Amino acid sequence: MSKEEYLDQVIKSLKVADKIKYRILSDIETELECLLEEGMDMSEIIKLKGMPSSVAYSFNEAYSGTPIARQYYNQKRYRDISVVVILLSFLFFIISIVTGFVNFDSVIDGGCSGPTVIIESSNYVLISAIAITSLVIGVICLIVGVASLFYHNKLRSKI
Amino acid sequence: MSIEQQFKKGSMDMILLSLVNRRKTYGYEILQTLKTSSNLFKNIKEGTIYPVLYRLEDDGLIINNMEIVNGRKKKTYTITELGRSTLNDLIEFWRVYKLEIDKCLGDYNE
Repeated sequence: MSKEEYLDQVIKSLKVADKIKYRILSDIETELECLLEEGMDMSEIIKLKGMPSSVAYSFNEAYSGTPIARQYYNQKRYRDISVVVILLSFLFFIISIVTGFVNFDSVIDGGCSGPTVIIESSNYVLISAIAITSLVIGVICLIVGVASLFYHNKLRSKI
Repeated sequence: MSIEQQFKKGSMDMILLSLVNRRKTYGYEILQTLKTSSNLFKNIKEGTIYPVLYRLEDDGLIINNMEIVNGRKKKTYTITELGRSTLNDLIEFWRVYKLEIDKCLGDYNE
């Protein structure tokens, strides 16, 4: 395992707010640099310091129940909500596009001698309603998703 | 958390401030000094000292600098003026506190 892989695994195992993650990262990197400078290789360092998960665990334990740990779970929640809602909005946009272009089951009634009357079947109204409703829901989902993503980023920069 | 751990945690701010006060230092050096200088801290983990260092930094008692030393990137900690005066206050408090506690324990020892 290289130094970069070690640090990457520490970061992935940390359950703290992003700002603290980067502070921890720079300190652990300094530790690794000091040990490498002393002539150790990465396998000896792992033997001395433990696996990245155990290093991360000591921080997770220290921050457990603090606002910094709660921040992490809030960030995660808002990111998940954003992803799901934005995906939903795309789904609704696709439904609205597909139903918007669907072949309407229209019936043309009338003759060449008289006035031509186009009678739209009830399917047309139904499909149009689905398309418009999907479009509206899609827009709402997109707004909620973007707002949630914005809030997630705001939380990341907090603390 | 055991009573022993609570005592250690309570005194950690003062101990770390005094170590940073000695000279510009790294988290790793602090960890090694604690492990080798006292049996109390021989099993100390990163998760115990760094959160305290971050708190001291947020309170303006120490500052960190990223430096390139021998081609290696290192984060160093230095005490501030505020940190120095806070350390003096804490050490003064500790002396009085120790005396007072010993006075209370005096009867028990006898």
